[in-house]
Amino acid sequence: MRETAQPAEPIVLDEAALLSLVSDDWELVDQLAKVFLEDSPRRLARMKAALDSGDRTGVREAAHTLKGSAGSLCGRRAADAALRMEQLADSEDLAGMREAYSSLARHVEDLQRALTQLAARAA
Amino acid sequence: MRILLADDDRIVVTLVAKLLRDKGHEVVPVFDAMQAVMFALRTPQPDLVILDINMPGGSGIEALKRLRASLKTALVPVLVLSGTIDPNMPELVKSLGADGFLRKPVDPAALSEALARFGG
Repeated sequence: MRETAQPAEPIVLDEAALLSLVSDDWELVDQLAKVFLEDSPRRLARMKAALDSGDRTGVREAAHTLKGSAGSLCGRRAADAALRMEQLADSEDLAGMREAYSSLARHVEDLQRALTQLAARAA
Repeated sequence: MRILLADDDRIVVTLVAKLLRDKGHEVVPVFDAMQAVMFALRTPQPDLVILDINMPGGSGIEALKRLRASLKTALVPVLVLSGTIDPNMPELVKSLGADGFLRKPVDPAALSEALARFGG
């Protein structure tokens, strides 16, 4: 029986792509990491509050912004999770949204950690 | 070129501004749609506006309409930069007078190509 190949899960942080994007400007990497560490918890908190109050527009907007931030930083896994959340926000699937939120929060934390480690190498 | 860059995401602004400044452009960053319109009207005017769609202070769509409605900014090129999942958005913004559409996350090669079309 032939096995179906599973698509590989995207990596947490594509360091090479990010460094190429910023032309190896390590000071900028440090600055971007700090901004993400400041902004992403706020976006997640806003998303959680919107989710708890049934505000799908709020969920979609927070997911959209997180997708932009994570994607710009080459944080592939968090960007994909944010995209899933953004798409779900247009549905009535509240249980799916709660599950997607937990997954997104985990992936955002992973990206925060990966960025912190990368920025530490800049020091 | 003097480029007005409007996006509410500080990370996107930081990265795109870096790409633009590395190419010798002057960048004026703003973080909401209303500021985008206000700064576009000010002298010296931008040679290009790079505009996000989902922003506080009214949407980028509203800002685009205002830019096109004002005699002072009607001819300033507008490049929309968006991570939208709406497949109709590129056509919509073009129908409202945008001169180009770029997807987020920004691809440096695509950005360079778009800038070249506006003389940058």
